[in-house]
Amino acid sequence: MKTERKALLIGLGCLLLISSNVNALPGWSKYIKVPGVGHEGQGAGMELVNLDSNPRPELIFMAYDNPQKANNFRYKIGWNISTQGLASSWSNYTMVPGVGWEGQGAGITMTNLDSNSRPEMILMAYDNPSKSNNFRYKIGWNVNSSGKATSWSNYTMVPGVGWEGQGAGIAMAALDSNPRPDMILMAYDNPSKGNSFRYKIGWNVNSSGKATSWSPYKTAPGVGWEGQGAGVTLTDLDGNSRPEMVLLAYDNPSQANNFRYRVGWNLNASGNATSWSHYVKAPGVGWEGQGSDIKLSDIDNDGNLDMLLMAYDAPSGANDFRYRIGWDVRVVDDFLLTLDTLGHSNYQAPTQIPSSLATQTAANLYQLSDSIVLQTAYEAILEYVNDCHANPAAHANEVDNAAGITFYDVLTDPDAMVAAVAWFVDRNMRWTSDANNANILNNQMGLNYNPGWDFPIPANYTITYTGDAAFGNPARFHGDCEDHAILRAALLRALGFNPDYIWNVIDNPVSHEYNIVAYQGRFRIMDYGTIDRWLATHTWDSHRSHYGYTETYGKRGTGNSQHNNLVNHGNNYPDGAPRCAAWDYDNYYADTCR
Amino acid sequence: MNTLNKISLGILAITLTFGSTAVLAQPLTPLTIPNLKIKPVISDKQIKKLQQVELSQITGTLDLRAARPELVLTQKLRNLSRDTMTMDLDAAGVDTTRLRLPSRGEKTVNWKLPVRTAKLGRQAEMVQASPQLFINKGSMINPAKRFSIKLQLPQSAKKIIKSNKPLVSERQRDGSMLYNWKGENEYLTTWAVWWTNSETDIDLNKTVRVDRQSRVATVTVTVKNQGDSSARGIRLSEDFPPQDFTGMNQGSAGQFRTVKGEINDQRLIWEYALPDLPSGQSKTVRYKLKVKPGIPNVRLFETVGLEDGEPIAVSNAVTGNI
Repeated sequence: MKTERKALLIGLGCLLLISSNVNALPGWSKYIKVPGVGHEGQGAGMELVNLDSNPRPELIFMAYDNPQKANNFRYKIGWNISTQGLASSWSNYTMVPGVGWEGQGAGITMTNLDSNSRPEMILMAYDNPSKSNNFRYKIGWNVNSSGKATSWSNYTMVPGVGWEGQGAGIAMAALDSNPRPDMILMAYDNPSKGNSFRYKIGWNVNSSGKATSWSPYKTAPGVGWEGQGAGVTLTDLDGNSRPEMVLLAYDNPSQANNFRYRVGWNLNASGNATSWSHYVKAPGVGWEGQGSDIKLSDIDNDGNLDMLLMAYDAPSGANDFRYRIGWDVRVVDDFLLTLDTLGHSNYQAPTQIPSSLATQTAANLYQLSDSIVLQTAYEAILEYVNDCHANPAAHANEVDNAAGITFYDVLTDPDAMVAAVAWFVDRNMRWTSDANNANILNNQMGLNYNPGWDFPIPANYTITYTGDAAFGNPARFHGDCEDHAILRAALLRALGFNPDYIWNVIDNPVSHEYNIVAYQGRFRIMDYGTIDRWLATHTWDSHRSHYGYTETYGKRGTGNSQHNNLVNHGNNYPDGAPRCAAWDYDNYYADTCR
Repeated sequence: MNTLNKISLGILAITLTFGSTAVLAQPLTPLTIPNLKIKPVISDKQIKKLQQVELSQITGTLDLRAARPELVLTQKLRNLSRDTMTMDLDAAGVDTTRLRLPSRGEKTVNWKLPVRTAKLGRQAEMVQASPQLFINKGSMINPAKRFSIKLQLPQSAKKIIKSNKPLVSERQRDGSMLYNWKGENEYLTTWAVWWTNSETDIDLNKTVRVDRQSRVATVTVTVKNQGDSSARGIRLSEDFPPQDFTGMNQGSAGQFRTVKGEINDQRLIWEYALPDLPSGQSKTVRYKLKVKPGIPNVRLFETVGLEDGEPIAVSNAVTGNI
């Protein structure tokens, strides 16, 4: 175990101390909230620097505010950050004219460019015109001990790295042998699928803040499909004198966001990393963000590096900065890979086809990584919309029951999604026995599919194999109750439906499987028929929900653990929590528990 | 119609499509699900882009006489925005194509899309084709303004059993039928057509009538032999969830029996063996179901007729709801 430390890289982040290869994982603080600087932002950044005579550093939060017309930078200073990571006080914000009308990321860094001992503040935004984006930065010269620059430069424009971004960052480092600092500009590029980090290097920035040349952009693998902010920082994690680049994105799945970062090891003099780590996930600070950033520093003065993660949280009203600290960041070989088990809507879960009861997990049964599931989910919406055009009265009790409902309406309304999926599956899927489907899949299709108990069929198999030819009974899909339930859940999940609000449940005694789904503000039965089929009643002697599973909780089966999935997750009771003393199926639904 | 030693005609798996007029539950308490938030897989940015793209016209042909049938499509895409747009297009089973659409401009994209064909037995076949277009992996936000896709069945085809889209037919000079699925302002989804190569020509009709007082549903199935020889060994069967229905009649109008699945999902099966049906004759069968309380309007699926286990006819419509 090495405990070697190095003092830091460049600029005024003089707090950075380096440790490497210590075997532990960071523990994360609760997040700390600081009032924001506006209602809408298009990027945010953070810097740690010492501005005043107090030896404790200042923490600067900046957001790129986005009013109707020209944007502007707004930053506020948290004075004298304690060893617990708290500021003794926060300044009001200072506004600096922006560099355009629309941005897709912003960053802040401080360094010393000129001969004056006071530092410069560099504010950067990733400007977003109709075509290629570009970086635009401006320099606040000689920031005084109150955090104000004596003057601001015009902005300098640097060609961007793509057409669409979801975050950007800036950092200064000494990468080559030239004593002048190098500027790293990074954007989190956002193509139709997985994002990627793209950065370019401005070599040897002169005392006027101009680089002598710019590198072509370099690419590092992203950490997800949708982000809401990104940041970059450089430090020497392994003590070999070459810096590591840590890239962060604030990943934006269907529910709570999370931070994801990866490390580029030992940047060479050309700015290329020798390797990239897997990404590491850290808990987020909210559901929607409009910028984020990362810094590494020894905040608690214990000789170990701490990690600050900040996001500019974006609720419906005023934004706020939220940050949390990972104390004593350690390196364990390569950074660990963690997976989002909560089911990112775009997350391609590592699935297998079930081969036993033990592998009958929701992920394996939904098969969201197979694009046929998403395409069928789109089709569910389209058919539903077409049907509503033709016969709005047929959906009188549903949320979106008007003629003229559009694909977009359904896509953005979870209740309408539920109605559409229930309608589509009911319309296109006919009941058949497990034995019939076993014959189709294994004897006719030659799949050698043997999932164990009760022959549940993964959604992609149902879509691909069970239609039409099966049983001389034209229908797009065939299956029994659990196959219906699996397909409904998979289609909803493919559309981005919250995984915690779509359950597959099994009765006790075991007789039937169906879904419990959030609809019109309550958990409802979703079973054969349209969604309004079960709004008023659960008249079947089925619907004695006793066992349940989602992607989050458990797997399919009829054991105590499946029962406990329902018992122990109170959010899935009517009214959000158990209201009846003893749980049983009669108490599960709001119409009997009052 | 060929002379058939044995014709079985079944009405299979009339799975219920529960209708739409369920009564709402008692007044709801305030919304109870905390933090319900659902994020579609398409980002806001992508939606904005998709809203600016219109499928202004689609024409296509699906010629099943070809050795390897394909759905040949010509799609006109219009950019409604003032900005030039670059997008990745793909359609079923075809690699992505990048398209740059100038401001307010229109471009034509041609596709040859694979289709799925399958034999349903010795005589019946089906084809599935999807004219859906995906932009940046997202489905179209706007419906197709105008579309017309023509279908040419194989020469061996005698009759369409069913199409899930409305078809307009026209006879061509060579005597064959050309079918056209066309419309306006519609979202295009998978098109599935079943046909038979059999000479058998059976018509099916189905009517459902409900006595609201007694909650008894009478289902009438009329089978007509349109061919020129007798149809023999016709067999009808349907199934229902027993939680919703009780079978009432026995004997001359068929038998009900309950079938238990391997572990779950019992079904109520009705079966009836129809006597031989001479050419031009029809036979009407009625059976009755008791609808259990609390069951709202129910729409029954179409009836499927089988010949030696193969579909040969599907009722055009089911009249009446439970």
